[in-house]
Amino acid sequence: MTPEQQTALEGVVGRPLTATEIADINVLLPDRQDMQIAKILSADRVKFIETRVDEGKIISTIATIENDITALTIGNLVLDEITTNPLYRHVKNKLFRVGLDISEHTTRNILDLLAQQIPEFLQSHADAIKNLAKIDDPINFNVVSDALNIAEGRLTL
Amino acid sequence: MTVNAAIIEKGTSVSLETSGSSIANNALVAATTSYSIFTDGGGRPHGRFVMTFAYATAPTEGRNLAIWARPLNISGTNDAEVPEAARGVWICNLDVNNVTTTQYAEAYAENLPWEAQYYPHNNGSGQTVSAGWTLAVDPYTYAPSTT
Repeated sequence: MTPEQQTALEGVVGRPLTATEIADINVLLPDRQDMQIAKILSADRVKFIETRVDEGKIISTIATIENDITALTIGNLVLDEITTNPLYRHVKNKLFRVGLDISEHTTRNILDLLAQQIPEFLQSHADAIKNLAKIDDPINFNVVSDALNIAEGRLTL
Repeated sequence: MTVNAAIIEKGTSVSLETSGSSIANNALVAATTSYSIFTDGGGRPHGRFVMTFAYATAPTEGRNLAIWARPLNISGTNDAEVPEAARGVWICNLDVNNVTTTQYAEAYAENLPWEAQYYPHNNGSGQTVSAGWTLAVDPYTYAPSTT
């Protein structure tokens, strides 16, 4: 991998390449197997999209980990905390009116805080709710091709 | 056949490339030999492009190899710009199959530039066209039948 190719690929992913990625991509570069290169760069790549959860969704998400009665019990504790703790006095209004957007950084931190405050509400429960907003964010192979073509000085349209 | 019905009159096939270098996804490569409809095509303005090519790794089906042209000697000995976004002369598309065996594709184009260099563009197939591809043009025109 030339320095120009590495710079181009790091520009595509927005971060330095790992040693493993460089080794794996070096095998694919001579034949420019761009689809496979894009797959390597897309591994574990995610993004968060706007996803609103209401009180029912909080309980049903916990129920994917716990049985229904336990989920209801834990969900009630979380909702009671949001309802009664003055720290969340404005959060509760939003939750009950339009739902909380769990892609937002602040909302995600609030879930982590609740996991610390409520013993029954585990971090795994908080993570399950946060992951509702998470989707895969693969890199299109054409983006890889265009970046490498420029780095290699090839003619492009 | 009705006398004076329009029929196709074809000329001798002209090779534009006998062994092209590899074409990465979304890149173009110039065919070695330019083509003049007058000196090479006998004045016939149209052409049937035939390309043989292969992919070492199967490409995405439904994509194509687009043929672009760079008109030459359009003002004295001055040429048009090398094909780039919004400056190329698109000629035709050749369909691509998702296989690794040698493929043969043809496409017809009418009213070709009087003289041009031709560039296959690997249009979003996701894989590289292997070195060794060939490109030829069969010139043709329409003529009245005599029988």
